[in-house]
Amino acid sequence: MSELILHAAHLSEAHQLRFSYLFEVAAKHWRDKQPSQTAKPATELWVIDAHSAPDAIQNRSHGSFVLLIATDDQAQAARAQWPDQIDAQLPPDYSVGRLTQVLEHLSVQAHGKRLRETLKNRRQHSMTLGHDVQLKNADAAFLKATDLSLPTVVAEPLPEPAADVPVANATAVPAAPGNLPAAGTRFRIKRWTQLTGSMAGQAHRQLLAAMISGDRDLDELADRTQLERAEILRVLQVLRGKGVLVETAPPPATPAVALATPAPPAAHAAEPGAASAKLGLFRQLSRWIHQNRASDPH
Amino acid sequence: MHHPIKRIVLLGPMGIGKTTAIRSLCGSLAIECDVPNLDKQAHAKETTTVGLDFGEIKLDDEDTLQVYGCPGQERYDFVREWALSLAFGAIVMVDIHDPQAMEQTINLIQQCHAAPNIQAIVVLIARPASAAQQEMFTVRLSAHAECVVPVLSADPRNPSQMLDTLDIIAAMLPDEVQPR
Repeated sequence: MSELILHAAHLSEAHQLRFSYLFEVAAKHWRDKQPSQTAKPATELWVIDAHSAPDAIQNRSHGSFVLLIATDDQAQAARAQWPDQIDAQLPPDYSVGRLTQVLEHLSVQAHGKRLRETLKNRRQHSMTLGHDVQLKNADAAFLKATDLSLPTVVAEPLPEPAADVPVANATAVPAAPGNLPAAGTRFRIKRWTQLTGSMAGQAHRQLLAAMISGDRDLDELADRTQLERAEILRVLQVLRGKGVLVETAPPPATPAVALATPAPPAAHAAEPGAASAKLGLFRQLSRWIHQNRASDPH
Repeated sequence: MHHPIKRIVLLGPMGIGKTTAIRSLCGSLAIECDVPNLDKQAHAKETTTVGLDFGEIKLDDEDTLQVYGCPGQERYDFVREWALSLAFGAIVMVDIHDPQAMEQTINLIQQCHAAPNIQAIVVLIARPASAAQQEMFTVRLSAHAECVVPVLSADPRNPSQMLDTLDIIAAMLPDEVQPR
């Protein structure tokens, strides 16, 4: 089975939705046309747009292919600026058929390129998936495309992955204690996004609402939803893959103060007298809604 | 002790379902201000709201949440401005199949931001739309700096779905603790 390594994180949000939907179909068409008895090497594809081209072209790994989604004028300008760097172009209103053709074209060109060499240059925000994985929806695509083991707040490229890791296994792993974000990391989303599949529930929307209205740490997020911490981490992973998550690392602790000061109470611990304080509007509304649901036959 | 009255407002074009949504949320504690609709060119429905629709939700023994539905016609924008000035939350209802939907929604969100006390704004897609259509609308709306808000989908006739919408507003609020 031939493989396709996809890097679409450099694609701006305006193009990501269309691409995520059409790619799923196009990749299936493309795979169906592959001769099953012929084992082809993997193809690494970077999907970019005019806005992200400078950064993506600079950072892409050697030997990878670049697909530019842009108007003809933008593509002409990009080709003038980076000769021989753009392998294919699609207009912003491309169809599934056009995308499938591009995949076939690149697949032919990819003959002879080695997967492991390209994987070595995989960067933190890239999205990697084997196209032979059955994808149920766009969220699943992003989930599989995002490696949970990546550091939470990193600006530098990842260290090289283990050389013998097969691409087909480069899917998300369940959240584990070792993969938790740094304590105190705060999360926010840049825009609302429609979650689908198992993440289409009200609790998940509450989670998004909490993050769109402010920077929240994991404790606050858990407090504002009915979700388990592992599920929150899973959602964060999807949002990270979609490129809508903003993560703010906690300020570095001052060692002298940290050594001299006893362990501070947990951020969410009740303050003295809080028990006698009036509930905030959030609590009041939440409680009323909960009570109303309990008594509502709907 | 003084308890400031808490209010949210429902905004949106004529006929989108603001009156219905208040009825769904507040049940018998709703007062409607509908009169025969004389502007059948704008919308074919038989009645429309003048003044403000109004409903109440008893949060507890002391506090009440008031829900206002603003008339959708542009000529009543002064009513909308007044209601927004009193509210902490706004639900902007929209039919994303309407060619004017994006422009109307952006305009209403900007009006919400101009209000002094608004802490939570939610866009409510009040007509059936596919997930892809909703996401596309969300992405386009979010391209405007002031419009980074939740975009939900609910049937105004469905109390449970309207509760979900209110729940999202609750999730956006600061969890302030007020001293007695």
